[in-house]
Amino acid sequence: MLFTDYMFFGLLLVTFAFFYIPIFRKKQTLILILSSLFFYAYEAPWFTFLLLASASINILISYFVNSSSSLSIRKRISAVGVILNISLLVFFKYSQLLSSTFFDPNSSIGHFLLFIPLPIGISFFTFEGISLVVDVWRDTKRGHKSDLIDPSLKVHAQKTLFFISFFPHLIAGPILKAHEFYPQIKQKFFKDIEWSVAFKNLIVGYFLKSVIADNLKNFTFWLVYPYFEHLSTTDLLIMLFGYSIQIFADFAGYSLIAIGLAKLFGYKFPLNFNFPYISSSFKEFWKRWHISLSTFLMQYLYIPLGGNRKGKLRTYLNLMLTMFIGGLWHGAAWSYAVWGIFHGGMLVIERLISNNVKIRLPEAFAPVKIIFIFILITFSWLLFKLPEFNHVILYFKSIYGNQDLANNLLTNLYILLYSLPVVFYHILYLLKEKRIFQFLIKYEFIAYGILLFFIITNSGSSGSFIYFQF
Amino acid sequence: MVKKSLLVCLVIFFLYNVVVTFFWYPEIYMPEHQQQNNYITAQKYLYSNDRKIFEGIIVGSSLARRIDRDSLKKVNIYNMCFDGLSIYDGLNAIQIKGEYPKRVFIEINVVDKDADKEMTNMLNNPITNILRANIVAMRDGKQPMRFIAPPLEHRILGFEYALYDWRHKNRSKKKNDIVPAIGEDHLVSADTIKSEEARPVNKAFLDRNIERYHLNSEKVYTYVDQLFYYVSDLQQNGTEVVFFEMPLHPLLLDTERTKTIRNAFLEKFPCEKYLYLDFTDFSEYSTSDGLHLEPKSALKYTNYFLSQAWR
Repeated sequence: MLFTDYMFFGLLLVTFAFFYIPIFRKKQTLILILSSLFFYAYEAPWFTFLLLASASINILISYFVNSSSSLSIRKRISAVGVILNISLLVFFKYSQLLSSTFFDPNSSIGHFLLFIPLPIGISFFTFEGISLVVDVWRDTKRGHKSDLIDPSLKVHAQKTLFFISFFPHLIAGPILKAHEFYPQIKQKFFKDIEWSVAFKNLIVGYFLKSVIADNLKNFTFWLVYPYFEHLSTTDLLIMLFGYSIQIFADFAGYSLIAIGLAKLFGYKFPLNFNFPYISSSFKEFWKRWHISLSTFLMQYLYIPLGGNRKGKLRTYLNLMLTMFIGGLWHGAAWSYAVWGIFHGGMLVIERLISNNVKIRLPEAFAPVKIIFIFILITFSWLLFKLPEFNHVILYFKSIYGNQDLANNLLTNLYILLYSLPVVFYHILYLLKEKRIFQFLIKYEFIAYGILLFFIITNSGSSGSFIYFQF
Repeated sequence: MVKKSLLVCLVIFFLYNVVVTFFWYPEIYMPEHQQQNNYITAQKYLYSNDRKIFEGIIVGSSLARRIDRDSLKKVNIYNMCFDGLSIYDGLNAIQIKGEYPKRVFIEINVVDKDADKEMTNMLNNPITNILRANIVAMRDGKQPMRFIAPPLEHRILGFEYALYDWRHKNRSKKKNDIVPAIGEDHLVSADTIKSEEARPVNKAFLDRNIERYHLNSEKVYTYVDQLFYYVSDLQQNGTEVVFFEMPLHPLLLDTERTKTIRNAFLEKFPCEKYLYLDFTDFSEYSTSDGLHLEPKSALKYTNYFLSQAWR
C-alpha cells in the first residue's frame, strides 16, 4: 500500500477516528499496531509473518538481555540477536546476489537462492531491531537495567511491536531509535495534535512525492539501457539531473509524509533529510542525507570499529568499510557497493585534504563547492539507476559521443520545470536568516495553498517509492 | 494557517477549473509523456461530454496506434490503442464504460501482454472516475504544467527560428515547419514527420525485433484463451468483433512469433465464425524499426483499414 493510494487514505481515516475515540483511549497502541499490520499485509500478506517473527526475536532478545544477571550471558544474547537480524536481512535481501556471485545458477542451491522473495521494508525493520538490541546491551553494560524494557514481557512486547511496525515509518524509514521513541508511547489526545506542523510536513511531502518525483519518473524512465544510447548529450545530462532531483523528492517526500502522519497520532519522528543538495562537502552531505541511516551506521558500525580513534589509516579503512556496507544496504547489487565505496573514497579524500592542506577558500567559493559536490553526487546516482556497471560505462560513452544528436527540447523543459521547486526549496533554506525569508513566512499559507492545488491537479501516476527496493 | 491554505487552494482550484473547462483550449488535452497520452486516450473515451456511441473502436498496442485518428473520426471510429500497453487495456475501458459500439477491431500483433497495472488502477478507481467525469481540471492533459512547458518550448523554438533566419538569411524554410502550433494535442510536429520520412529503418531495433520474433512465445495460446472471454462479452452485448493484423517489416513475416499468433487466432477464432480484415502484403509498407509504420505507410494502411472496416 502506498501513501498515495486511496485505500491508504481510507485506512488512515478509520485509524484516526478509532484512535481518538475516548472509549478506545487505553487501546491506542493496539489500534496502531493492527492498522500497521493491515497496512503491511495489504500487498504481501505472507511477509507479515516475517515481520512478526523479526519483532518477536527482538522482543525476546532485548527482554532477556535486560533481565539476565550475568554480563557475559547478556553479551552473548545480544550477539545472537544482532546475528539473527543480520541473517534474516542477508537471507531475504542478498540471496540473489550471493547466488549470482558465488554459485552456479543452475545448481540446486543457486537456483533456490534466486527465488527467495524480497519483503518490503526488511532493511528498515531489521536495522531497528539491531539498534534496539544494541541499545539495551549498552544500557545494561553499565550495570543497571535499561529503561527501555518494561518489567512486564507483555507490555514490552506491545511497545516493541509498535516501535517496529508503526506504519508511517515501517517500509521506508526513518530508522527510529528506541530511546527517542519509547518515551513517547503514552495516551494521546485530539486537542494536542499539532495540526500546523502535521499539515506542513504532509503538504511538502506529498508535493515532493506526487508532483515532483512521480512526474519526473516518466521522463527519467528513458535513463535505462538501451534507450539512453539514442539520446543526445544534453538530454542525457538533463535526464540525470532530473533523476537526482527525483530520488531526493521521492525519499525526502516520503520521510516528510511519515513525519506528518506520525504527528497526527502525537508522535514525533526525527528529521531525515536536511536540504542535502546544499552540501559543500561529502561529510556535510552525509549529515543531511538519510540522516537516520547515517546516524545508525555511525553509532553501530563506524564507532564500534574504532571510528577515528585508532590512527589515520584505520580511520580511512573504517570510513570505507562503513560506506561499503551502507552502499550495499541500499540494494543487492555490486553497483550499490561501488556507490558506497565512491562515497567512502570521497570522505577519505576530504579528510586527507582537510588534514594536510590548510588553505581556506573565500566564502564566495561556497556556491562553486556546492555545485561541484552536487555534480559528483548526481553522477554517482547513475549506479542506482543502472545496476549493471557496463551500462554505466556506456552511459558515459553516450554523453561523450552523442553530441550531434538532436535534443528533445520539450522533455528537457519538463524535467527542468519539475526540478525547479526542489532547487527553490534549497535556495529558500539558504535564505532563512535573511529578511526576505522572514517577510515571506507571513504569507506561507499562500505557498501551501498553491502546493496543495498542484497536488490535486498535477500529481503524476502513483509509483512505488524508489527506496522501497531497499 | 491550515484553514487559510485550504481556502487559497479552493479559490485557485475553482478559478482554474473554470478556465480550463470554458476558456483555455477546452477541447485540447496536452500530454507530457507517453503514458499520460494513453490516459488521455482512455479518459476522452470514458468522460466524453457528447454521449454518442461510437460506430467502431480499435483496441491495440503502439502498432495500431499509428492508424490515423483524424481519418477515423470522420467515420466515427475511435482509436483506443495505447503506446506500450495491450489490447486488454482498451477492452477493459469498454467494459467499464458499458456502452458497446457496433464493432470492435482487435489488433492481433501484441496479444501476449497483460493489462497495465497503472492503467487498470486508473480505470477502476471509483473516486477519481467520479471526480474526473465532473471536474475537467482533474483529467490528464489539463495539468497546470501544460500551460508552462509547451508555450515555453514554442518561444524557444521561435527564438531558434529567428536566430536561424538571421544566421542564414534564408526565408525558404517556413516558420510553421519548425515551430509547432500551440494547442495541438499530438506529439509530432510537421518537421518531425518530414524527417521521419527521410530516415531509414533503425537497424539496431530491427535486428533486435527479428531476434525476438524468431523466439516462439508459448504464452500466446494462453492469452488468446483469455481474449475469448472479452470477445464473448462483446458479442453478448451486440458488438461485432473484427480481428486485424498490423503490417510489419517483411523479415518478420515468416518468423515463429508471427506464425504462432496467426495460428492461435485462427484456431480459437476461426474465419467461419469471426471476422478478419484480410492479411496485408507486408512488403507494401515501411516501418521505422520493423514494427511501427512510418507516417506515410500509416496513412496508406489507414485507407486500407477504412476500405475493409465495414465490408
